[in-house]
Amino acid sequence: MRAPPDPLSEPMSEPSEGFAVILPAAHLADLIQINCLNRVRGVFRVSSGLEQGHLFFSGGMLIHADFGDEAVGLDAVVQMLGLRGGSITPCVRTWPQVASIDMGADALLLNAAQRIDEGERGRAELTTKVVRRAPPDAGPRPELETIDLEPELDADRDPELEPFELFELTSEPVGRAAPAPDRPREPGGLPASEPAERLVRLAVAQLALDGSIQKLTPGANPELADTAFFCQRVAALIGEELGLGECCALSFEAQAEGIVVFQGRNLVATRGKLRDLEFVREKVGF
Amino acid sequence: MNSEPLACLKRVEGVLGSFVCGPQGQLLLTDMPPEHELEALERTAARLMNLLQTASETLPECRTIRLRFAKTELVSLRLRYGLLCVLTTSTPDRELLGVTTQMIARRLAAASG
Repeated sequence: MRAPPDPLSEPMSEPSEGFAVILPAAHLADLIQINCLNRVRGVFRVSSGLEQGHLFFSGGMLIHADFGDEAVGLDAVVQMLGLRGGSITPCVRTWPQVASIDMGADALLLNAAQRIDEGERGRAELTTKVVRRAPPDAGPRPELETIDLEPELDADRDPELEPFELFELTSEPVGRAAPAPDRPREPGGLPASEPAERLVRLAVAQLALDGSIQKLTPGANPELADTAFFCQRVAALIGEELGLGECCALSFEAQAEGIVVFQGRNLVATRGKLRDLEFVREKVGF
Repeated sequence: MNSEPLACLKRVEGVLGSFVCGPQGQLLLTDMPPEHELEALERTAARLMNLLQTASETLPECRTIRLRFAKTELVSLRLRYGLLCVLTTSTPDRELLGVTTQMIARRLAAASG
């Protein structure tokens, strides 16, 4: 839990200058990214039917979210991303005393997309995979203990379920869901992949900057995390040696698969098909 | 050190320099800006080979490495015996760069028999 930027307790000031926008095909994930990118400070109400939540942005981050009577933090974001449509409006609301979210937009959406994917597999519970490194004196290459609590896969899962739905962004609540347009189709007749769908197909390992593994999505393993950490360190040495500065991202490509590693507040390694990785590349400007 | 086989890379927009190293990281060709000393390039080449070997354990058949820095990128393409490395700005002409590096890789492969 991290203290949000100061001052937190003051209510949002008068609405800033700008345009009221109605985007029938807007995604909530896009709003989160745009607001973080533009370092918006403000609160947005997300409404869908009788359900309602709030997103608090400040200093380039989504620092707090609530939804319904109980959900806060990432849980609230996941529930809001799972809504089938509604409206997003700026609002005035008292700022929380304590931030409930402690990750950047990209990491947040990666986590949320994973949670949504897991939820669609028919399990409400979060897949929990706890990975701990063995003590340093265990040998030259640290061994990993893995406690795997993955739920059983649901064979009936519909692969076409959309984790991100459509919203209207407007200055006034509109009270109805925007109709979803037909999705474009890729050659061969398959629907074009949405970014979120591509995300959930990726194996993702999240590491702290000291190399400790924080999270592994299904399909990711400690080897991916270790490789990412080692390679990032070597790349940093190359940057230092050649006077190029810090290495902010690196990628490895084979014929059809690849690995992209990027560093923000954490080190994130993603592995998957090259075309699925394009989304990650775009996000890290790579 | 010979740089002629790499000369055509300089005509690609955004390319700052390039070099070729052998499997142990030894420099074979270089056309890098003069501020990069040979010793530094050799250490870099050895590290890049190390990166490639490590990555190949997780990603078999890994053939390309890209390192993104603040204002530059270092792109390394696996050759039959070593690496072709190209230092670029952050926005090179990627299409032309890809074609040119493949062409040089074929030439080097042919030259090495």
